[in-house]
Amino acid sequence: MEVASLFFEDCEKLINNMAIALEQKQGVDFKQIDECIHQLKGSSSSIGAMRVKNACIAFRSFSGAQNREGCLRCLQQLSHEYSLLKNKLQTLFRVSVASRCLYVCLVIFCRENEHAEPFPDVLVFQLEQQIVAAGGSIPRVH
Amino acid sequence: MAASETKFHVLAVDDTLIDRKLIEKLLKTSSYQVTAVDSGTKALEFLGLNNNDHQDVEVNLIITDYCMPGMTGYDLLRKIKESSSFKDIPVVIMSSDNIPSRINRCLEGGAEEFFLKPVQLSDVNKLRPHLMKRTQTSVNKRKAMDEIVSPDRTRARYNELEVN
Repeated sequence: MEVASLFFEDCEKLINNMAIALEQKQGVDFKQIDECIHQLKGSSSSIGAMRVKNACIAFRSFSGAQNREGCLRCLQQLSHEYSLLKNKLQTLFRVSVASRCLYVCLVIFCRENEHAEPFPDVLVFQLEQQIVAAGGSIPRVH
Repeated sequence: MAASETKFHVLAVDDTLIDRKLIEKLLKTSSYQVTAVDSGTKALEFLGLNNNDHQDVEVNLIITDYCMPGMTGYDLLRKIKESSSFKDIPVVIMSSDNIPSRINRCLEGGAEEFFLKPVQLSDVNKLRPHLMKRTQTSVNKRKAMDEIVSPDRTRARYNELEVN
């Protein structure tokens, strides 16, 4: 799960930092928040997490307008999307390793996520590695 | 032994750890040798650009993120293309933003390809023709030059340069 774990760690740290920044009584540092959103948008794009990426884009407009209420709402939405993604990925990893049935799981995952983008290859490799490590094998279907 | 000698060497440039790991994984899966650095400055140092323009190490392709603090991917692209020793190294740019003007600027600036993130294996497969083309060119150039020097040395050089 290395790349996915890195992503989770990163996300949680950034979301936390933003929550703290928005709590500051002496004034919110919107520049810092903007920087966090930028990083999160980058890493979510890289890993193909489109819903998290889109939540970041929406967030950007509120941090740009220095709208604290708007930012709080966006942060909540972002946390929600992140939790959904984390749960799905963890379930996917668990189920595919247990069932050693990679492709069925991917199909189900993509259907649930309803986005046109294909599942990122990098995560597929990790899944394959884990399945093989668990004693399964990967059928080569193209 | 022969197989590892003919592996292409890609220099990957990205300021975030996740992205470096991702691109490294994709490239290694495609049998490239990879060096990953976290800035344009480090990329130039690695190439030896600051060393009287002498190429320290053989790099067959550079793949760089666009959005980086300090030197952007575009800045790095221009520095490479403006250098007499390195301008022939193909450069590919990656970005999470789909901005047509940015893409055009990079392609016009000399980038071979522009990849939108998430970078997929199918994108990495597009790199091969840019590398093969270049190797063929250097083989032809070398051949032409060596023929002026000596027939025996030409044969030895050409064998070394053969790529699968």
